Amino acid sequence: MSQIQVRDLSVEYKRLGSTTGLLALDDFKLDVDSGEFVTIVGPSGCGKSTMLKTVAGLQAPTSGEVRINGIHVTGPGPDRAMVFQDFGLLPWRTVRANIRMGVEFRRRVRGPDVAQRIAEFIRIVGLEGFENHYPHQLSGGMQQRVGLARALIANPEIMLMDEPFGALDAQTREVMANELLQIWETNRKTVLFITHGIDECIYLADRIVVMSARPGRIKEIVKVDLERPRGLYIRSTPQFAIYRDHVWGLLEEEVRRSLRAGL
Amino acid sequence: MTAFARRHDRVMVGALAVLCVVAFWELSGRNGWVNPLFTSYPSQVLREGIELMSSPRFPEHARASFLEFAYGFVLGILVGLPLGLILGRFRRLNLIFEPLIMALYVTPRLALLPIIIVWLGIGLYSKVAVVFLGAVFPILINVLTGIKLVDPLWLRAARSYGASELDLFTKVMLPGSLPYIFLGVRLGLGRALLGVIVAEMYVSTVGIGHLIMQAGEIMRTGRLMFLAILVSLLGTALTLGLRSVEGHVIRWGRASDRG
Repeated sequence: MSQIQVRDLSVEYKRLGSTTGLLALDDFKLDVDSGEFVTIVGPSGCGKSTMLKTVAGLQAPTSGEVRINGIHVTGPGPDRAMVFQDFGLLPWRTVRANIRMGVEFRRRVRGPDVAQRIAEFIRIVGLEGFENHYPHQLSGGMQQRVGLARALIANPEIMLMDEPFGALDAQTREVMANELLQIWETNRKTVLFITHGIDECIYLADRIVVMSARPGRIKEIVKVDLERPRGLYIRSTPQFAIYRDHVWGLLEEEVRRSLRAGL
Repeated sequence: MTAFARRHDRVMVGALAVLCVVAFWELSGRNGWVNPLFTSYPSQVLREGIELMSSPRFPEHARASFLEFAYGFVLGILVGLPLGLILGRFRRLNLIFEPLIMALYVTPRLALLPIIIVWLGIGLYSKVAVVFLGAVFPILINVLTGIKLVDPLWLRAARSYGASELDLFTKVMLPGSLPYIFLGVRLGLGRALLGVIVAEMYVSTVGIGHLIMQAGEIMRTGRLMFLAILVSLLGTALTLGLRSVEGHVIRWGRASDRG
């Protein structure tokens, strides 16, 4: 049995002053195995974020369901941790206190043990020396490292990442993607990763889910057979170029369609 | 410019400007450019002030005003803060109470003064009521706004990590709306101070406002000016005190900075 099972998932948003809803996600099916790195790409407004929010338990499906380890999802749970595009850090908390968020609400906090683990994850994401800084004192890349550490410390089985590097500049993005892969190689958690970046979605993934323009459906699932562990060099190999062309070919049509629809 | 001068630029220029105005004021009064009965002049203001403050009845006036202010302002915080938090948190309650609150908020307090006197007499309590009515609304409305403006992303992040409704309130909404809470208290402070003086001018036999009214009636311009400056200095000192507390509590930006 797959670890994540998304079954016939549809999500329709109510529209203010309209009898018809907005169909964000239509009949979406996906199975993800434990330890798999799955990236999801699609044109803007294709429902990728809606799908992820539903898996996170932050959005109720209109029909269909999400199962984690066979159990029907009704809300957020300790088996999943989320990383947000706009970081979702609390501005009045220091780096350390923001990371503590990953464990404090589930009451799995025990004194010295937690302080040690926070220090450990601060080291893993490379934020030593910034423990007592506030988010506004950090660059975007550093803020997302805090977001990453916060998710990792919760020790989830599944990491849900909603365009986590989307708010960062191009160079920082590459560095962060590389660091994420290195961390992932050591813990091999299941990852659902949403992105707009074509290179990023190939570089990271075991499988790429390419979505169609609204309403979001799966257009194709691309299996990525590139050796692991991967380094940045892999982006200039011929195999990578083939994947790039293929994914771009799938996406181009959808992007044009969504532009025509004025989405 | 020396480093010292540069660092204290603002203070120095400000002080210089004030000094010039004071000097001109003194000269115009002494030389009769303007009738001193209208404007008095600084040395006279100072003399009158010292005379007033050393008079045996002055502490009684100061004490009365202080008590009216303190009771009314503290009561305003004690009512406005929790009420704002509750109304901000529960949308339904807010829908019920908002029109009432807005109606009371825009009603000039002085229009209510006669009825307040009917209810509470002309002693301490009627003035406490006026001060309270001045302080409570800015506090309540800003706290309510602060809670409503809490970033949904903060809530979503906390919720995804398992925060309960209570966690969301105490660990996200409350700290997240602190800049607005302070803003409300600061605005409430100004209105409370205004309330003391105005209420005392209308109905009182004691207090700073009463002294101002009296000084005006007998054309003691110097004394009047002194009292006005005294009130303004007190208000400034209290506001600065609050700002410094705010600066220590909030190290991540004020309501006014975030638009």
